[in-house]
Amino acid sequence: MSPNEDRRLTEAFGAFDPSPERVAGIAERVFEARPAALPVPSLGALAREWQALLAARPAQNGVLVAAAATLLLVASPLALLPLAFLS
Amino acid sequence: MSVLFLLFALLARGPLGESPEPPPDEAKIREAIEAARQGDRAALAHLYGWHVTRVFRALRPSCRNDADAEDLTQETFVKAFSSLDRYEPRPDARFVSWLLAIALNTARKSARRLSRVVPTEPESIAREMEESGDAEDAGTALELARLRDALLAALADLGDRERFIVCLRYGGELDVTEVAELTGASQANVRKICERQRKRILAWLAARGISPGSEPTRGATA
Repeated sequence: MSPNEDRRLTEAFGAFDPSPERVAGIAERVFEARPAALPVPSLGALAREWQALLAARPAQNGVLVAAAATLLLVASPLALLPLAFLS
Repeated sequence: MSVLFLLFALLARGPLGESPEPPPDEAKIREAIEAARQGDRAALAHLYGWHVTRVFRALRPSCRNDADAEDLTQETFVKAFSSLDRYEPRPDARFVSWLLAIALNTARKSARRLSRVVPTEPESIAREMEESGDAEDAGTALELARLRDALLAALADLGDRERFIVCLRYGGELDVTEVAELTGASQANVRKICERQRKRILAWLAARGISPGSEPTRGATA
């Protein structure tokens, strides 16, 4: 086989490369539309993912903290409700 | 758990949306497989990112359009990730060849395969690609669209078996041994088909003033 012609035809197939938007679109469908079909993450794996994500994307840590704070603010008064009934 | 997953998906959107990175060596891929089997979704995302382009490239010529190729690519990855526990690494077979075997079976079972040339209009494809930011300018977009169009037409002339062989070899970038194993053809036959079709396709492209390899043709186009 001619390595040069092999390379040229392989490069020609690059014309079919999916765009980043298409890659992200398929990923969404693979990872989000059918999460039940995917392996269930262990707590340790989940913790490692978060650790890696927080280290790799410090710019989004603010979003994460804000989301966690909002959850706490919403959850705290709700947690006090049963106490109000008990007293 | 679902809130955690949604937040993870939000944070993971960036890496998954970027241009896929080239696959690393097989040892690293096997590490990622092992981690994914333990439930590490980041490892799954890496496996996806390393292989999605080759799966899409190999499937696209056997589909009517990009949307069908997208569906088959999605099916391939969902099936592969669902049966990752059954994947048995072998010293003589790469993970990508297992993945493309699933892609091939998915395509064979699908009724969305081409049986003849799909009419496309390079100018309108180029316009769409330029508008969506997929190509830097109209000239590049038109050139890529012409290449896609001519390549699809050349591949649509082939029977299913030969088209799969050529697509696995040049789109999936498998070697002759891997293609032979996947398709059940002998290595000599795969070599013969690839040589004949490679010459025919390059001549077909040359007759249309297209010479791949002389300029960069890789890029996000579909």
